Parts: sequence; C-alpha cells; structure tokens
Amino acid sequence: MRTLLLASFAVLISLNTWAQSDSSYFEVGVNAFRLIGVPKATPAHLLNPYLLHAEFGNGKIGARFGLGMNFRSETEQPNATNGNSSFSDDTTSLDLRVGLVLAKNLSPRWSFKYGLDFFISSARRSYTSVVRDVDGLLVESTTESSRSETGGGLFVFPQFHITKRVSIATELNLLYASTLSEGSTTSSDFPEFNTVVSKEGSYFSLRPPTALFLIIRF
Amino acid sequence: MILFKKRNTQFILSIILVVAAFSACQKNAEEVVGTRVPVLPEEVYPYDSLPLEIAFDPFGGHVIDNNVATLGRVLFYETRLSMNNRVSCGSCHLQQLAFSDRVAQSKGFQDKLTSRNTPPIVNVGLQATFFWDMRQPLLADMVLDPIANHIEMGLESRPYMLEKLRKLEYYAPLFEAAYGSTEITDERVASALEMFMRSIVSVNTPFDEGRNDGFVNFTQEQEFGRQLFFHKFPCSACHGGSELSGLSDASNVGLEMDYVDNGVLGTADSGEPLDGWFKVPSLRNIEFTAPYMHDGRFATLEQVIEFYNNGVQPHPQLSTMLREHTDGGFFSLGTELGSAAAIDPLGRQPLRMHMTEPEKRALITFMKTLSDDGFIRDPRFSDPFVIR
Repeated sequence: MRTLLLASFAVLISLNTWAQSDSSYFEVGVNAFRLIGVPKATPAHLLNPYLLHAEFGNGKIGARFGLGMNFRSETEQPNATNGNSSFSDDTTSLDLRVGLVLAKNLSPRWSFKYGLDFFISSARRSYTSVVRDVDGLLVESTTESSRSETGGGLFVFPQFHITKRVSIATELNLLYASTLSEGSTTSSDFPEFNTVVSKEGSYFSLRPPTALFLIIRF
Repeated sequence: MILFKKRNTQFILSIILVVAAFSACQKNAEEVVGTRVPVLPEEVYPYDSLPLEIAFDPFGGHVIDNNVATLGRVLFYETRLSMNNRVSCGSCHLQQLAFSDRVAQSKGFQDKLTSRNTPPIVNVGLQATFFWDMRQPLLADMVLDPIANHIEMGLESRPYMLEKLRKLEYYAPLFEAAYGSTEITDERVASALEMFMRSIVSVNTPFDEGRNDGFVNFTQEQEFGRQLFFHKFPCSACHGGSELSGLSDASNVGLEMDYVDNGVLGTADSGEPLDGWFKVPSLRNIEFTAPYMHDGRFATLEQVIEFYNNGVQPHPQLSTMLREHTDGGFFSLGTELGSAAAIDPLGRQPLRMHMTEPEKRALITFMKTLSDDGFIRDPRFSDPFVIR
C-alpha cells in the first residue's frame, strides 16, 4: 500500500512540471452540500464528509486540510408504543484529512488541482433505553457501534473562480482505507448475555463529486 | 437595609425553589413511571370462532387452541422480546391498520429503518410463504425471524430471549394454561405466536357477505368495480382466490427497470437470476394498509391504480399478465392463470389499460369492499398491555 501511495506521489510530482506559477494564497471553504443537505437517496458511503476546507500554497504546490463533524442527540419520552422506555440516540463523527495539492491554472476562471490525501475518521453511535421491569427495577440496555478508518488516496479538485476571491469547487476521490468496526450490546438485567464484536477490514472506493465547496481566497 | 437584604434573600430563594421544582418536573417527565403488564379477560377469547359463514377455512386446516392463542397475543405485544425492551411485533404491525404500518419503512429497536414495507397480517393460514421475498415457508419459523433480526428487534440469542421471558412472572400461568406446564421453550414461544397469527382472521367484509348472496349487498359502483376487477382488467389474474392473492406466488410488476431491491432469490425457468419479483399480497383490508408495494412507494390507492393503468415498466422479467395480449386484449383469469410467474418469451410491451376516471373510482370503491371494520377493532387481537 505504501509503495502504491509513494508511486502515486511521484507521478503527481512529475505531472506538476507544467504547472503555472502563481502568488501565495490561502483559501478557506465550506461544503454547501453538508449545510443544505443532500438527497436522502444518496448512499452514506458516497457522501463527502468534510464540512470545512482550508488550503494554502504558491500556485504550484500547497497543502490542504479538511474537517468534518457531526453531532446528533435524540431522546424520546416513555409511552405505550415504545415499550414505556425512555430512549436516547447519540451519534458523533469526526473526519480529518491533510493533503498535498498540486495545481494548474487552466484559465483565469479555472484551476485544476490534484494531489494526495491522508485521512482519519471516527464515528460512534450509542442507543440506550431504560424500562422499568416487573420487579420495579430500572433496566438499562445499550447498543453501541463505532467505526474508525485510516487511509489515503488521490483526488482531483476542479475549481471555478467566480471572482478573484470567490470560487466554487468539487472533488473526485480515489480512496483506500483500513477500517475497524466494533459493536456491543449490554443490558443491566442480564449481563451474562452482553456481547462485543470487532471486525477489521479495508476498502477501495471511488467517491463521486458529492461536495460543493464555496471558497474564499485571502 | 436589613429588611431589603432579607427580602432579596427571600426573592432569590424563591427563584431557586421555582427553578428546582421545574427541573424536578422536567426530570420526572423523562422517567419511566411504570411497567407494562398484560391485562387479560377472565375467560379466554374464542379465537377459534368466525363472525360469518364462509366457504373456505381461513385457519388453513389448523385447530386453534384459545389458550395458546392467548399466550401468543401477549407475546405478540411483548416489548421484552426486543433487545432493548423497546418494540414488539405489534409496534410495526398495528391492528388499526390491519397489522401493517403507516410508513414505507418501519423503525426497529434502534430506530433503524427496515428495508421493506411492513406487510399486513391477515389469514396467514392460507399463505404458503412469508416475507416479501417469500424466503420463509414455515410460519412457526417465520415468527421468530423478526425477533432475531438485527434491524427489527435485535434479540439474536435464543437463550437470552428465553431468560427474559422466564423472568416475567405473568408468563408462568399463561404457559401452564397453554401447554400444561410452566416450561418456556423457544418451540413453545414460536408455536404460540404462530397460533395467534393464524387466529388473526378477517372474513367479515362486504365482499365476503356478497359472495354468500350474489353481491346483492353491493352498490352499483361497487358492482361495476367488481366486474372491472374480475373481468375487464387483469387484476384477478394475480389477485384471485379467496384472499385476492392468487396462488401465493411472486411476480415482477414492472415497478422499475433496474430494481434496487431484487426481491425473491432464485432463477427463472430460463435459468437467469430473478430480478424484481415480490410476493403477490392479499388485497384484504387494503384500504387500511397504505403505503403500498414492497417499498411503500405509493401513498394512495389512486397512485397504485394509476401505476397499473399507465406506469408499468418494460422490465425483461415483467409478468406476462401485465403485457399486451397478442390480439390486443387483456389476459383473462382462467386462460392464463398459473403463468403469472413466467418470463414472457416474446418480450411483449407493458399493458396500457386506458382506464377512464369512473373506472378508476369504481375499482377503488370495489377494493374498499374488502375492508373488515370489525377486524381492526376486535379486542381479541388488541394490545393487552397496560402501564402500572
């Protein structure tokens, strides 16, 4: 895997020999699709997880950073249809990436950027229900699942400059990641039936342009 | 000065007390105030009786034991049969909706959505297979599948399931009455759930009544709709028989060209993998069971009728019943029955029925004669649990 990434990096460096030089810049962007939402039918694994984008460089080469996060917490009151249980559903996720950017200015309006990313992501979901048992004691049941990923990949990042300072961009990613998924179920009344499962894996994925970054240049 | 300070102190203390009382109320509102326990009639309900004389046996040849069905009713509504004590079979199979759900995909024990629409429960004794993809031929096995399903109820361990039930003191007398001993086994749990489901019989509809007396009870529009359903349009080619579900077969009805959910696993006579085949459901109580189709894509009967009228897609495995007849007419019940599951070797185009608006209205009016209003309010099938 490391060899593959190094080889990809070498190819990118060689391609950069025709890149146009430019002055230093710093850009920050926000992924509009994460703000306004995407069609529900879009499979979760195809969604671009990054909300914030930052990049600096000199027009030939640069670095970029991405941050995505999601926090959600829901609670439900006891009622007859939910088994008279109080219920909480907590989800958190964090996505971070750092990448090397190579750029070519195709025209005053268009830039074509490409490069190599390394990323880590972590997601956790926890469901807890509390129900009163026939003996009057409260029984708490929890199911938890978590998933962490570490990987890297290649990207292309076409960028359209609306003005000198404002631009929009999207990206296509070829990703490889190793994954660790863990799950557990626990219940206070029958701890002998608590379960923990863990699974390691990896994947290759081509993520389509499911992001629209609104970018401001400084 | 001293008075001012005292008043200030009282005021601040009052505010603290009010805030504390409000917080306590808020906290109480989130607490679980009682436990669910079943309340049953002193004399068991007669699950083996029928409200109307009919020409077929809705129990499918099985003898209904009222005590076993009573136990099955309690198990059906038992939320402890889910991993986190949150949902029961009855959480998705709502009696007032003919044991279907009002949403396209139901929420399981962790609020995750099921992959398919909750099918209604009716006259299961006359059904040969279960689930939309017909993967389960045995009702006694089928009833335990949702309990163990990781989306639906999440109780994958049978020993865990049994221990949970053994802890609930109200089950000992129920198992004693049903099986002669208090022993709780997974076979007995399955058998009781099966018995209760077999007893969920719906045969008291205007349609059933009409079959006994030549449909003199039908209005003009209902009778027009019946004629359309059974004679002009090919509806009854698949939705025939006492259950209006044909031969418990599966069919591709051309919902789309590229199915996301492939449905029934297997191969056609030609050897190619089946694609987009789903069980033909009974139309009994269809008025109550929206949304429709395996994925709940249609919210109303009007949408369903419009789809069959003009929206069927030319999927290669589309049922022959929904293709143009070679002489330009429709397939008719009797001449082609049994070939609903066959792939058309001629690849004929989807049928366009060119229904008029009065015909569409009449078809829906007829389908509403399949509604059993007493069934959806029958206390024998209701949730026996109360919170105490």
